[in-house]
This record gives sequence, C-alpha cells and structure tokens, in this order.
Amino acid sequence: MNILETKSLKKYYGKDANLVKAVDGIDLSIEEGKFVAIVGSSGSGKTTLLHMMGGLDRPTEGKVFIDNKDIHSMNDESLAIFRRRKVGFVFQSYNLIPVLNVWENITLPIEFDLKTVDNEFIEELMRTLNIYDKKNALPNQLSGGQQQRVAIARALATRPAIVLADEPTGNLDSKTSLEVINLLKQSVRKYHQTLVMITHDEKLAQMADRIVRIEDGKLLNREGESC
Amino acid sequence: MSKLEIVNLSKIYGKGESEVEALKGINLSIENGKFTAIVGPSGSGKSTLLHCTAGLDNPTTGEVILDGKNIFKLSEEEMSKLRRRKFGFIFQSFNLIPVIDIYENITLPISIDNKKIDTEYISEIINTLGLKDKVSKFPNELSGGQQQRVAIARALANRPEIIFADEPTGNLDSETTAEVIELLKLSVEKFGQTLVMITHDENIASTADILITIKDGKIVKKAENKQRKRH
Amino acid sequence: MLRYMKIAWKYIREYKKRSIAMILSIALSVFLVVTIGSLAESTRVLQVNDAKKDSGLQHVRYDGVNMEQVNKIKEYQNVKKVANSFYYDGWNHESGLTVNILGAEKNILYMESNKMKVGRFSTKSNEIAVEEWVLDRLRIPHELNQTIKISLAENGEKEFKLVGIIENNLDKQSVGNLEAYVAFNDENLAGRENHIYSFVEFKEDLNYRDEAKKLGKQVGVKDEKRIVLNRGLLTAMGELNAIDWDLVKKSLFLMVVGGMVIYSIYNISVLKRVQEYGMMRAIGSTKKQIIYVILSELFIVYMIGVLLGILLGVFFTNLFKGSTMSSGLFTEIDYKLDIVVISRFAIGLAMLTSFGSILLSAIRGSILVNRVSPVEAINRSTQDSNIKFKERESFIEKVLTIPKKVSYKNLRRNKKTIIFTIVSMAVGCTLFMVQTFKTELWTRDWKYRNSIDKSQMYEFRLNTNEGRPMKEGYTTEQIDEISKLPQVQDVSFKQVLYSELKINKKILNGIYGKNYIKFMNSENGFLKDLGDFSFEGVTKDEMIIRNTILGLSDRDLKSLSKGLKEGQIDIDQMKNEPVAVVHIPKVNEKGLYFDHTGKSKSESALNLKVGDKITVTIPKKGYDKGIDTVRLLAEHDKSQYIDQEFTIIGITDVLPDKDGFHLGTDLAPYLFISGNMFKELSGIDKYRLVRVDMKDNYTEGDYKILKEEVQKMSEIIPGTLLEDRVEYLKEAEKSDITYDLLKNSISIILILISGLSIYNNINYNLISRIREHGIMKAIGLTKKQFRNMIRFEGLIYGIISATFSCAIALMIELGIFIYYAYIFDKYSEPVLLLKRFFIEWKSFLIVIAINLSIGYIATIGPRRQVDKIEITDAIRAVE
Repeated sequence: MNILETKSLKKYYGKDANLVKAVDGIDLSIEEGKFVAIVGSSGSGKTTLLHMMGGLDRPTEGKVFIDNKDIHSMNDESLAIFRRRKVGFVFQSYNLIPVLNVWENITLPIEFDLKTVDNEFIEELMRTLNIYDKKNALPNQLSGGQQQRVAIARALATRPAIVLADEPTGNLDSKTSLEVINLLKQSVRKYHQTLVMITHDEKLAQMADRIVRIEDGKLLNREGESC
Repeated sequence: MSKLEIVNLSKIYGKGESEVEALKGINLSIENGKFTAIVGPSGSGKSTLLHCTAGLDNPTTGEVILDGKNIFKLSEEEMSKLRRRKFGFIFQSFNLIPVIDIYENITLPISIDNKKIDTEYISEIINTLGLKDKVSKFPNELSGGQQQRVAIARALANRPEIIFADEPTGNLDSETTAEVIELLKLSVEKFGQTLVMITHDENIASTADILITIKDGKIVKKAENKQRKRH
Repeated sequence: MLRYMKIAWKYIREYKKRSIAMILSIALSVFLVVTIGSLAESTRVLQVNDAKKDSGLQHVRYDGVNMEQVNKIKEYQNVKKVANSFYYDGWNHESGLTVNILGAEKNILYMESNKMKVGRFSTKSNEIAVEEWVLDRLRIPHELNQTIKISLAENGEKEFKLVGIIENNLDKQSVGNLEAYVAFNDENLAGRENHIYSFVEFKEDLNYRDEAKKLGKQVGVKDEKRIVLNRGLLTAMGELNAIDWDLVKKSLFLMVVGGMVIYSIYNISVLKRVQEYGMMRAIGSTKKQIIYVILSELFIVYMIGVLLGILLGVFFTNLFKGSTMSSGLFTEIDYKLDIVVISRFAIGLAMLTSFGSILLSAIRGSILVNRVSPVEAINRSTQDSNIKFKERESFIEKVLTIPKKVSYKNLRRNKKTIIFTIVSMAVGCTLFMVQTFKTELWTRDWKYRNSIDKSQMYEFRLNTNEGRPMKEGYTTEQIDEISKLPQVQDVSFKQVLYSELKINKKILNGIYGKNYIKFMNSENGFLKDLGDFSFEGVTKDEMIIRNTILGLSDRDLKSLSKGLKEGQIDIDQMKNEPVAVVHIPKVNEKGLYFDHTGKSKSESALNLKVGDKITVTIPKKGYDKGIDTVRLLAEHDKSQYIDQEFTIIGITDVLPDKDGFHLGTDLAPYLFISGNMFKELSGIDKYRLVRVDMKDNYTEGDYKILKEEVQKMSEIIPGTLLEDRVEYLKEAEKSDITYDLLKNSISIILILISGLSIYNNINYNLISRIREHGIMKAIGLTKKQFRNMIRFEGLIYGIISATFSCAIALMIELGIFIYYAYIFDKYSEPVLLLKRFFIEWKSFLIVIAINLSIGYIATIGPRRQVDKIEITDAIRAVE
C-alpha cells in the first residue's frame, strides 16, 4: 500500500525573470513501512519537496496524498491534527523550543494532542539516543549534535505513521550517524512506520530500501535522466 | 616554528550541579601552513576548543599563544585587528548579517577594516563558490547550503593567515563539499595559510596534514598524515 | 488553558529582558493615562470651582416665582439645595453710596461659595447681615448687634440690627457692588411675592438641562426666558451639551497615545516569535493553540504591567497633590495643590486601552502566524514581516560605512515600530511646544494690551457717580496727592462726558445696524429709566444716539495709538484740532452684543471710516449750570445743546477704559479725544475716572494704608464707585498658576513617558540583535566601531523624532496663530491684538536636546552588555 503519494507536485517562487522552480512536477509513490532516502545536490529542491509532503508548505500545483487523503484540501485545523498524529518531522535546524527543556521538547506534540505521556516509552527512546542524562537541560546548553538527537526523539515520540527527516545526521559524527540511522530503521520496522530521509551522505543513503534522486526540481531515473 | 600554541586550556560551563567541563587541560601546537583537522564524537568539546583557540571565547584557565603573545592578554583594539586581518572564521551556522546583501556580507571584514577591496580576488572566490548570480540577493533569499558558501567566501575574503572552520561543509552535498575543500586547500597552499577545521567527514579528515581526535574534553590522538602529497 | 500558561510563563522567565521591556511598555502606558487623566480631571475640577465662584453653585435660576412655586421646588426629589432671594429695597447711605438690600435665605451664601465670618445670617424681620468690605466702605464699625438706621428708597427710614458679618465676596468687591441681606420672610416679602429668584442645585450625576426644564414645567414657569441655566458652570462641568465633547476628546487622545506606547510590544513579543510559533505548528499545534499561547503570555504580562502602572500612577499623583508651590507674579504665594484628584475614570481608561492594544497585537500576531504555512513562518525573518529590499540603494546608504549602513538598514526594516514610537514621542513634544507657544502668545498679547493702557492690572479704580453733575470730578491736585504715596506705583486719570451723536441713517451697517438700534431701544438695551437710546433727528435721514466721550492725557493718547485698528494718532493734532478716535460696538445679526452660543459672526453696528466726519451734540449749557444729567440727555431742549463736528482719525477695537455707569454703557459708541479738546468742547477740566496701581511686592501693611487713602479719596465726592481688586487678583493668579502647572505637568509627563518608551524600544531593539553584534565582533569590529555604530542608530532615532516633532509643532503653532489672528471673529473685541508670529526657540531647543539625549542614552545599556558578553555566548544567545 502506498502510504504517501505525490501527483505533479510543483512549487514555484517569484515571477518572470525571478521565477524559481524549486519543485517542477514530481510524481512519487512511497510504500508503507519502507525507508526511502532522497538524495540531491544543494538547492535541488529536496527540502521543499519534503516540506510539501509533510503538509508544512502548500504546493503551487499538484496534490499530496497521505493514507489516500488529499492533505492540502483539508482545512488548517484538520491538517494540523492530522499532521500531529501521522507525521513526525526532523528539520535541518531550529528544531527545538528554546525555553523548554529536553523532556518538555520531546513530549510537546503529545501535549498539544492533549494525550497522556507514555513515560516508559519516552525514556527508552531517550536512552537509545543517548540523551536521557540531559533530560532537564535547555537547548542552548546542548551541543549541535545533541540538539539534533533530541529533535529525532521528538519526531518518534508520537509514533507517527510517517517520519520525514531533513539531513538528520548533518551535524553528527559517523559513529553516531550510523547509530541514529540504525535506530530509525529499527523503529520504523518495529512500529511499521515509513521513513523518508534527505541526505547527501551516499553511505547513509545506501542503508535505505530505496534511493530517490532529485535534481533541479525533478526526479532522476536510474539512468540519471529527469522524469 | 609553531604559529599557534595552546597551553593547558580548560573551559568549564555552568555552576554547581549542572557544571560541565568541556575542555580539560588541552595542550596543542598548531603548525604553520598546515591543514589540521579536529575530529571527535558529538559533544566532545571540538567546537569549544576551536572557539577558544580562535579567541572567540575566554577559557577558564590556560593560554593561547600566537607569535609569542597570549592572545587573551591583548588589548581589545589589537584583538579586533587580529580578527580582521589574521583570522578567518567559518561557523557551524551561517551567521550572515540579514540586512546587507551577499556581496557586502562577503566583503564585511574588509569594509570594517576600511581597506580597499581587491575586486578580482573577491570575484574569483565568488565564482569558485558558485555564488556569481547571487551577489545582490539577501541572506533570507538563499538556501541553507548557499548561505554556507557565502560564509566560507567571507572567511577567505580578507586572506587571513589562519582559517578556523567549524563543520563548514556540514550541509553541503558531496560535489560542492569536494569543490569547497579543494578551494580551501588551494587557498591555504597558495597563500601559505593555516587551516584548522572541525569535521566528522572522514574523507575530509583523511586529507588533512594533522588529525587531532578529541574525546570528553581531552586529546586522545594526534596523527600526522605523512602520505599526503603536496604540490 | 493551564498548559499554555505554563509554556507562556516559561517564555516570560527565559526571555527576561524582553518580558521586562513588555511589562515596562504596558506600565508606562498605564501610568501615562492614569496620571495625565488625573491631572486633566484636576484641571476640570479647578475650572468647575472657578466657575462656581464666578457664576454660582446653582445649576439653574428661576426668575420671578412665588412662594407656592418655591415650596414646590423645595419638594422636588432631585433638588439638592435651594436658595431663594428677592430685591428688598435700596439703602441710600449718607455717603452717597447706594447699597442693594436683598431678602434671602442663608443658603444664598452657599450658592455664592461664601460663608459667614462672624455672627449669623438674618432670620427675623429687623435683622441685617453685611459683608465686611461693605461695612468698611460705609464706615460702619464691625460691631455685632448694633442698631443701624437705614434710609430705604421705598420704605422710608427703618432700623436694623447687624446680626452677622459675611466674608468678602471678592467678585463684588472688585466691581464695587454693594449688597446687604435681610431675612427671607413674609413681612419683608410683602409686595414682592411674585418676584422671587430661586437658585437651584440638583443632585449629582443628573442631566441638569433636562432637570431644569422638567422642574420649571412642573412648577409652572412658562416663560423659557425665566429659566436661566448657569451656563458658566454647566460648560465647565461639560454638562451643557448632550455629549461631554471635552472628555471625549481628551479620552481619545489618551487612548491613542497610550496605545501607541504599547504598540511596540507587538514587535517585541509576537513578531520575534513567529519562527517558533511556526515550529510549533510544524510539530502539530493547531492555530487555536497558537493563539492561546500568544494570549497567555500577553495576558500575564498585562496583569503585571497594569498593576505596576496603576500603582506608579496613583503614587505619583498623590505625590503631586501633597507638594506645595511658591511663586507668584505679585506676591509670594504658598499653597498646596489640594485640587489634584485621582481619576477612577482614568484608571479604567488605562486598563481598557492597554488591554485593547494587547488584544490587537495578539490578534495581529495570530493572523500573521496562522495565515502562512508553517515552513514560511519558520523561514520568515524575525523582524519586520514585510521587508522590501529596493534594488537601488538610496543615496545615504552609498555614503555610509558598512557598520553604519547595517544600523541604518535595521532602522528602515523596523519602520512600523519606529513610526509608532516616534509619533508617540512627537505627540508629547508637540504638546509641550504648542502649549509653551500658546502661553507665550497670550502673555505677549497681554503685555501688549497692557502697554496700550498701562494700568490694566490696576488695583483700585474710582468712578464718579453718573448722578453727580457732569462738571464734578477730581482735580489734578487731588490726583497728585494720591500719586505721591509710597505705596502707589502709577495713577492714570480720564475725563468723562455723557453725550450724543448726530448721525446719518446711511451709516447704519445694514441689518446689523438696524437691529442694533432696535435692541438698544428695547427694555434689554439702554436702561429705560434713563430715557430712550435713539431719537429722531432734524431731518428724516438724521438720527441721534447716545454715546460717551473720554478725554485722555498725552500719555494715554500715546498708548491708545498702539491699539488702533485703522488710522494714526498725531498727538499735536489731537490736542489742537477736533479730531477723535472712535470705538464702534460690534453686534451680531440680531443686534446683540453677546451671543452665548458663540456661533454668530459679529460686525460693526455703524459704518465709520477714518476721515469721516461725525457730529457730537451735548447739553453744554445745562452741564455748566449743574442741571440733572439724565434729564438733560433725555430731553432735547435745543437751548441747552451745542454741536461740534469731529473728524475721525482712528478706529479702535479696544476700549482702554470705560465709565462704569449706565449712562456710560459701552454698548454705545465711545469717542476718545485729547484732554485739551475735551476742555474746549465741554469746559470741564475735572477727572471722573481714576485708576491707582499699587506697587509690586506690596505688603499687607501697604495694602491697608492705600486702601484707606483711596477710600478717603472716594468719599470726597458722594456716591463714587470704588473697585478694590487686590484680593480678587490674588485669587485669580493662584488659579492661573495652578492651571499652568497642571497643563505643563501634563505635557512634561507626556514627554517623559514617550521618552522612556523610545528608550525602551531602542534599548530592546539593540539587545535583541545581540547575535548579529557577536558576529560582527567575531569578524573584527572594534569596540569603538561598534560603539559608533550603535550610537549612530540611537542618534538617528533622536534626529528623526526631533525633526518630526518640531515640524508638526511649527505647523500647529502657525495654524493657531492664523486662526486667532485672522479667522476667529466670535467676540466683538479681537481676541489677539498683537498679530506677530514668533518661534518659541527655547521649547524647540529643549525638545531637540531631549530627543537626541534619549537616542544617545538608550544605546549605553546595550553597548555595555555587548561589550561584556563573550562572542560565542552572543552568537548562541536566545534573545
């Protein structure tokens, strides 16, 4: 079953001479439970694509279906709730709320959903990511890598159907990177989640079930041609 | 002769229960004209070491000796001059000034120094980093990777003696990464600059002259790459 | 809701500097509204008190009612106090003075804001109560229970017992209006049962106009003209119109300024957090939840800020109230500002205004955050939402060095905040400058008027009674004697002649002139007892009207020349030729001199120009013989009259002086001629108007001595009107000083608050850019360069603010000047005589200095902070 599908997805900025085609017509289907890596050069449109897939940004044209629902036809309220329960997001930067500590940051989406926190699960998550001993620290007391790990924990905390990650290991050393990707993979398998990850690290990309390459806003087929 | 000597450098953050000893008595010589890479796990103290060495942060104890003088004993005026003329920084997050355009951001250190801009040289850097059509834009109009390239250009613009780089290619794709590292190394060799870089990219680390490994605030390994060929 | 409060509270605690800036902003605004509102209300209280003293405490007066109606009035439920009086009789004292005896209830003193000094008010038929100064004037000792033989005009001789001495009513004393009170009872009332004046004060918080009408109707007063509203008091209370426009204007003003002071909160709080709110949305909060978070934070800040502001406002106002003032134009005056009140209305207004501003900010912020997609919110710049970067640099930017350029561009980016802070500062500064200008404008005009007739601020005035023969008056020797007294600074003296003019009907100014004659001939115009105002002339085109002629000394002629609207005075010419300066009354279309609605235009009743000839006709022969003046002027026995033609050489808008009696009414034209000509015309060389100016810095002893001397002089000719304005002037000055103090305080507070607000904003603005500053320092910006950069930013703020304030103030001042000098024509006399525009340099310099200082000082704190902090900490900083 395709958990996520995009149809003719486009995102254009500006106009006339300044027209930038960040995403220029992408059709993509992602199977449930798979780990997909999106690879492309800087400025190729991968982040924009990911944002639209997660309902964070509205497309200029085209549709995105999650669980067969056209997410951009929902009103904002419904989309927010939908996103809260179905999608976990790890951004490239500016992930955490500076005034909340690590624990509060991780449990924030659950709080927004007005649900009770499964303390055991969260603790397990934090220990796996090696940030449990920092649970009362504020973001500005953590190193970049530690902040990133907190963001990942938060994305996994609600056990979403889809996890969208934008360069989640960008600031981590290779050892931690491998650990984190493995954890993500494990989690994804265990809870039957789908993981879509942007990376420019070929080695990490190879760990995925499928690699999607993007260039100039369009997907490349295996031969490296736009499609 | 060493350009930069780090003597017994320690840095402690916070107080009481939340006290963190980020650096524990580091002793290190940075060799002139060479590329030194600092690696280590996340949270090992690499950034702190770099910041203190570059004079951006005051250590709790210890000294950083440049040309026989402890930089922390310099006057504020001399320190500023140092930053303008001798040092170049590339931070982990891009740190551009939002209200001025890309060209002005790149030439900022020179403007502050009230010196004349070598437009040819600047153009060369801009072209190499692929920023030619972006010079009149503003930081918030650029993608993350592009902003990073601007930051790198700025660090090179005043042709510093020592370049400090904190994960400069963290957010760049492999192609651009290779290009940027190539440019940095060329620059370093051409102008006899010293390059100190934090990275977790093994490929980059392997091209360094000297590889320093840090863990838990202490240097655990220092290796010289004698295999590296120099032009 | 609690969980949002928790998050909000964490934000407030973490971003301490920002929270303080926000709380300060609110507190400042609340303080401003509370304090200024209270001071404004205090001004209102002062005005009401003055109005009560001037025109009485009653809201309405019913004329010509009877006892039955009086009783009905007393029974009316909404009546607070009633005082009834009637005219009893006239007391013809042997000194020639006439005292009006009124039958009245004791409450009449309450209505006059007066009280007993010694003894009690008259209650029985043969009792009388008199003010102290009246007793002095009549040379009656201050002994209670003495019997006074009174010669009544209608009821013959009667004996009264003096049961009480009343405190001086300064108004009456200053115009020499002698009155006394007998009991309000049936015996005294006999014969005047339908001529009672009933003064009514209603209970608080009612619509007085409606009540007055209602009561009048209920009681059976049919003629509307006999229901006399106390316009002076009602206007001061703001009760005259359906809506208290004054209060509305002031409230709106305070709300706008108070709101502007807070507006910056929007930028400080909401705008900066758009990124984080975007992040929250990205991880799944709904729009409503975002609104709750924003509101929670603002609400907490609001509560703290409002409390702080109110406490400070009340504290400061109380401080103000307890302070004493000592200053005075004529004497040292020490008194407390107990007039100051704390306005509950202002407190409510403050809370409402700040709440409204905050709500607006919250709504705007919520709209901003929720309107865009989460990603756009995250990527949005943290400062102004609409950054438009022009492709072409403006000229200034090319010239600036980079650090200054960064400052300049940051200012441009924050346009909205800058505009709001500067406008609120400009309001305070402009008010201050305009007020200073206005005060100076009126002061200069007053001084100018004073120079036209030197003794405008005279303390004593003697006016020979109209009943005395025309040829009577004071001699030069008598005047010299009083001038020589050490307590006297200056004496001015004028001759008076009651006369008539022969005019051609053609010079009547259309409808104005015709209705003027009609009015003057009616019972409300010229006093019927004295005869008609106008008479038929010899021919059909000719008409004779009453007028008064004043003979002026050389000195007074010179002063008069300053106040001329048209024409010029040549003193020699005036002394030797029959030329005159004329003052023509201005009336409205109905021919009335004064229209209390203030809406109608007024024009001269007669069309007279410089060069015209006018014929004066006086019963000279009759005057010589000492025949009764009134009779002479009412009858036109040609054998007594002579004519003299005068050429008009000047027209004046200002009456430098006038006779205080009916025959010398200023509703009739006045002619001014030289003393020489006066003597030639009338054969009289005595003076009937004498003004005595007491020296500055007089003591109580001086006053006592001079008072006695002047009274002695007034007794030389029986029935002389003596005005003693000393106490009256003192009270008036007290009032003026208090007004000025209140007004100045208001504008000073406005400036202070606005200044603090600017300081707050600049300060916060700089502190919040600490990351940027860290970067620039990392790149090599020296402390000195950084200092210059920040100072530049602060100074630009100051310069823009100063320029804006000065420009606006100048425009307003010019507008005010033009309005009063050329447009305002509601009064018959020009309201502004000295039509010379000027720039009040002092106030401008003060404003410029304040603005620049604030701009500079605001940068000190942030500069120190950035100097101290480590670069990496700066770059990592949360704020």
